[in-house]
Amino acid sequence: MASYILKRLSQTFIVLLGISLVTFILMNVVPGDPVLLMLEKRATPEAVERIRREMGLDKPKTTQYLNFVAGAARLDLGRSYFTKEPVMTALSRRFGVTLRLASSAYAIAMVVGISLGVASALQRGRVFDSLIRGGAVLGISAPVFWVAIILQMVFGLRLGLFPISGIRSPNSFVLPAIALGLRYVASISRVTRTSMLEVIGQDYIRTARAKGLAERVVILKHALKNALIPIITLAGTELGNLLAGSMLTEWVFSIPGIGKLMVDSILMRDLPMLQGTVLYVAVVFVVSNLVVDISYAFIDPRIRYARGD
Amino acid sequence: MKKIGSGAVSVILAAALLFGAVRSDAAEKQVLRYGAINMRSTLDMQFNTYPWVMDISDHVAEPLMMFDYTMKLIPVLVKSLPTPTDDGRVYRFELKPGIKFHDGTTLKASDVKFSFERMFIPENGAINSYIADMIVGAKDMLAGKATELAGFKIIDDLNFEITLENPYAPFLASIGTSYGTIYPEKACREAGKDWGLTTYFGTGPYKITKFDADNGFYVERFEDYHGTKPKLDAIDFIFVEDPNTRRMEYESGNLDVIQLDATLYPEYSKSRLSSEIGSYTPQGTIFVSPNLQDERLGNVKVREAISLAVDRKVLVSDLMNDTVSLATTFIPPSMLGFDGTVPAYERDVERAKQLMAEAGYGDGFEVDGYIRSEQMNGTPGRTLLAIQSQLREIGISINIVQVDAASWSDIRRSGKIPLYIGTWYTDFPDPDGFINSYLYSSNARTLSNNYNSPEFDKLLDDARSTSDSAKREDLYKKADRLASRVDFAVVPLFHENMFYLCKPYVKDLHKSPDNTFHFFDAYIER
Repeated sequence: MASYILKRLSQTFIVLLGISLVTFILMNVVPGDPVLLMLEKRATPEAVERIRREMGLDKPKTTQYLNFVAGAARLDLGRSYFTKEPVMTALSRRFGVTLRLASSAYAIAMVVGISLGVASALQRGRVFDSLIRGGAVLGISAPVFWVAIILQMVFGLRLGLFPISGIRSPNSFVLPAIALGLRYVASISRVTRTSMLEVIGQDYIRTARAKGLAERVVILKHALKNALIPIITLAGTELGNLLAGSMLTEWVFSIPGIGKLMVDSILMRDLPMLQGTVLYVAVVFVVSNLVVDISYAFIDPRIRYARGD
Repeated sequence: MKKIGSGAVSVILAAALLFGAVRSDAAEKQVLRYGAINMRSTLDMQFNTYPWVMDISDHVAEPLMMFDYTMKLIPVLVKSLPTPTDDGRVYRFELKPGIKFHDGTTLKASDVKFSFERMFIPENGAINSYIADMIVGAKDMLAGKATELAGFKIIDDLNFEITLENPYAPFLASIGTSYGTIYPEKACREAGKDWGLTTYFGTGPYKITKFDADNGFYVERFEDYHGTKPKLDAIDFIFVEDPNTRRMEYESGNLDVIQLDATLYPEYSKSRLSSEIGSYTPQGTIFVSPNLQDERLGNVKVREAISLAVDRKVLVSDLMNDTVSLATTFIPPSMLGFDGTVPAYERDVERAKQLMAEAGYGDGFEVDGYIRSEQMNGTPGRTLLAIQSQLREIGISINIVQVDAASWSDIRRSGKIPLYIGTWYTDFPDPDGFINSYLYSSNARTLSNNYNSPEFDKLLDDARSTSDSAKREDLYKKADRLASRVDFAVVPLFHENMFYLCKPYVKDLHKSPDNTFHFFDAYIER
């Protein structure tokens, strides 16, 4: 297992290098000069040249990229072209916010999603099952900003129960977490239902019931545990998605997270900040996938990772 | 099911009770809550150009002199506005004695010198150095040939002299903008690149007591302020990005002041909030900008035809719901050089067709009209769609091309945009910061307009160097008429009004034509 983890981590560095190179090339190919955006109407040739020199954009592209890689190796991702803030500082601050939002949404998605999925499977073919399945389709289809606005209008503006936006009070994350978590509730409940239906038809579940075990024990200990593999696969991917930030939720609720930082960086051609956010997202996905793979081994003892896997 | 439903409601109510809704202490203290936009920028005004940042910075740090909300230049850190020497090149300033920075240190002439020199140090990369690069030695510093500003002479702690390379009439107006803000030398040097990012202060009426670049800034009254003490105890600049969310926060009473998108004005003017709408007229113009290097648009007859074919009255009444005023020239009404005697543009489609035929384009032509994608639903986008429809009458077919902001800057600078709807607002309340910065040949070249008239440039050069206000006004009037009524280098359409929502209990709040809020006189009376 240890060698497997080491191998996966070493592969991560190659992935990160490739991603940073692709980002660098793309940002240099698409039109849009950060210096012109910065100077706006006062972009005289002299001013443009001076600012480009100060930002190091007058150097050859290869030198610029190698400088970035050298800096990244020392965990120095440079400074934002626009705010002049160190990228690592901005990322770490925003990560804290994204983590709070993502973990709240994830908790809602997992608890509610799995509960509804199990209940739906147990009530198969009944009205409750139909309601849950219909709700899941609605949850997956409903745009997050639409859900967000409805929540803001009802629970923020009309009832005054929760803040409409911002992260100034402890309950600020309630509405954004619900808005963001809802679509994941839908997808996790669907997968849980399907997986549970498959498992509860198995012989060992019948055997467990024949042994006289309580239904709660049969469902939670025998059925749900064995139905977890596809749920964990999905949950791992969803965790990556959540931690990568959600531009729309962050925008509507004025939450300064990673998602909006990344989109702003693209629009402003803020290459150092974009490189930072892209690398962050890559790390999040690599790590979350690794955690999922490792967790398989703990849930299903038949799965073991050998050299070369 | 009933149990599930009531359970959910209970959970929500319990959570609300548990955390409790946080209420501002605005009821006890005079705290104004302003819904601002986070520009993700440093507060340092030498490195950004955003009015949203000026709203914060202007209340915290000050330039030597500044424009009040009526656009009158008033002395702030200096005793009076200096008059230049006879040759128009030397200005002698005297600072008010005993002005304190927020850290308790006293403002000295050396702080002023430091603030000016800072914008010319090449490694700093200041983007607004143009406001003072006419000072002797500024260009040498920018080129790395000097480390001191030769044209800045300190006489003593309170007196200093600035010498310009050439007479420049709007010099005081230029350095009276937020970009000319004076910083404390010692603190600014110590903060280095973090100045404006983690620490920022000046001599202003408010000092920052909560510095949160992601969520907003809280500023409290500076008790040692040198000028008239502000009435508000504090201003809470709360970042709310989404206009719709901002509106909800305002309606729920969590914000006292917000900017209102002009497109929402008709809806709001008929709502219960109509009495809470405030308006102001920024010094700017909306116009069609043809590229004079385009073979077809380079023909003055085609440009005049465009002007004759545009139905400005329809734009004003139907498109903009009478929230704008008709433009008769490029320079807006509240600015020096505006000529109120110039009649309205006429609309004559038949004459326009005749001009098109005379220019050799009787059958019309197709042209690309560029627009920034984020402006498509705003005034520029809606105007472009209306113009597209109106110009079809004379055979000009506009293909609308949407690009993102970064691409827009790049393409426009390369001179490849044939036509666009220009939205031009002044850098500072002087025609030099408006008509010069758009239409002077060297500037027009970088804006895909390419107007290049030696006669026009000469008028602007003369206006720059004369300090006789009446003569300047006359020169600008002539230049404006030449560009917008003879050469049709731009086709002015209208001047915008802008709106904000302000709670009735907020008194004496002013929004100035330079697009910034003046909270200096504001107070709350519940």
